[in-house]
Amino acid sequence: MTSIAQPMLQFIAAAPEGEVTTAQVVAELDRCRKIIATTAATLRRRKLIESPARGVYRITQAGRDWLASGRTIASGQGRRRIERTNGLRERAWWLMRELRKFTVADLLTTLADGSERDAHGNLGRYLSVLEQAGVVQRMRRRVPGAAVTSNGHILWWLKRDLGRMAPVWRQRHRTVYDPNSGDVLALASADAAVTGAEGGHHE
Amino acid sequence: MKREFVKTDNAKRFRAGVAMLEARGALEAGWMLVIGRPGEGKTTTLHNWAAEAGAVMLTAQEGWTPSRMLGELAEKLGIEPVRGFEKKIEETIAGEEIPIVLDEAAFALHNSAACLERLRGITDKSCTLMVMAAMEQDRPKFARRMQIASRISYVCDFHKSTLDDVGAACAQLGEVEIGPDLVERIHRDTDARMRLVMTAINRVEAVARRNGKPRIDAADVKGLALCEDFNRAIVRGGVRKGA
Repeated sequence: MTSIAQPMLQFIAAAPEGEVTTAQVVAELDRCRKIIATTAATLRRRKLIESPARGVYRITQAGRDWLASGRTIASGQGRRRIERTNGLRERAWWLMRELRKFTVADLLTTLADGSERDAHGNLGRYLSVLEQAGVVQRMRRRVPGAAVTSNGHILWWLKRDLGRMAPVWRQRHRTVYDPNSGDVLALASADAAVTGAEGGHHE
Repeated sequence: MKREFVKTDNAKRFRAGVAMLEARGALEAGWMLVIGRPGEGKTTTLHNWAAEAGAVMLTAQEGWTPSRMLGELAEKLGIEPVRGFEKKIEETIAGEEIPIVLDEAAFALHNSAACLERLRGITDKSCTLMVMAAMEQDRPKFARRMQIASRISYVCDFHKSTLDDVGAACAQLGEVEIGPDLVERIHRDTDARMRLVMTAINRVEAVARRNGKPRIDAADVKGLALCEDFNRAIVRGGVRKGA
């Protein structure tokens, strides 16, 4: 939160009918338009102000209540913003939903940057448990690999799209947790799950 | 061949564009247009970023309508398409600040750009980022629609990959050393299209492996077609001349 958020809110509240333009805020607070726009976005996100037209800000009842309560705007008060999907499995889940049919090689070509430790094994194990939970299914057809001795890549199909959030493999409980519905998916055969999924790394 | 995402100049320029848009002044002008030839890596680059940003990705198709588009958007967001679901879509995108990615965006220009106008309604309110990918020849079609064009703050041109890009891809992905003369040939034969570069790396590696060589040069693959470029095959009447 920028330090001008509180003065900006007070200025808007003090204006006739609680409505000001960007130019007025710029003149009053002596900051550039960009900072004013960013601060306005933050205030709007908290629903303390609204924007009835482009470049016009109006205080909301929530904004007046905020000032009346004597509270000061500071960082960390709002709810957590976007849940970024950073882990390889989360990003792979996003891509699986997009591609529907894929190989581990397809996922890695798009997502891996070389800094991951055993990215191939990681996704192979993940897909294996998802298969046990009935979320993905391997196709009979394999995609040919480049190596002379390669058995080809397993072609996977996303059978059940659980939702935006990636299912989580809970190793201790040997279950797959679906954060979208809150369900816990049991594995079809628990023993077969964790050990090597891909049958070697030959391409 | 190693399976990794190659950060080409195009990919770096795209990321820089996204960073610029995230710091934009006018919140409603948060659209980006990605333009380039087929096989240049546009979709892969979009996937790479969108998976990280948790974006919702749509692919426009021939005959796309706003209702069909909203249905797809609801499905991606996990929203039941019941009464009032359009409002729920807008709330989810605004509340969670989900960027929208639209591939093959030229198909969304049909019917007075009805689909894009609907998306404009969503992004104007949510102030979220929207990235559209299209072909080079579609650029004027976007420029003609002022309401749309005024929201595009950045156009990311996916240029033909440079020799350095192809060299970097060979070095990053190749599990055998690829000589500079062969890198040059890959660059020439593939017309610097990343999709074909990957095929070429795969092929030269297979030759190197078969011959037990840790390094491969142009002389080792003389006469071998490194990739099947449909465009060249048509232009040359289906006859590929040896290298």
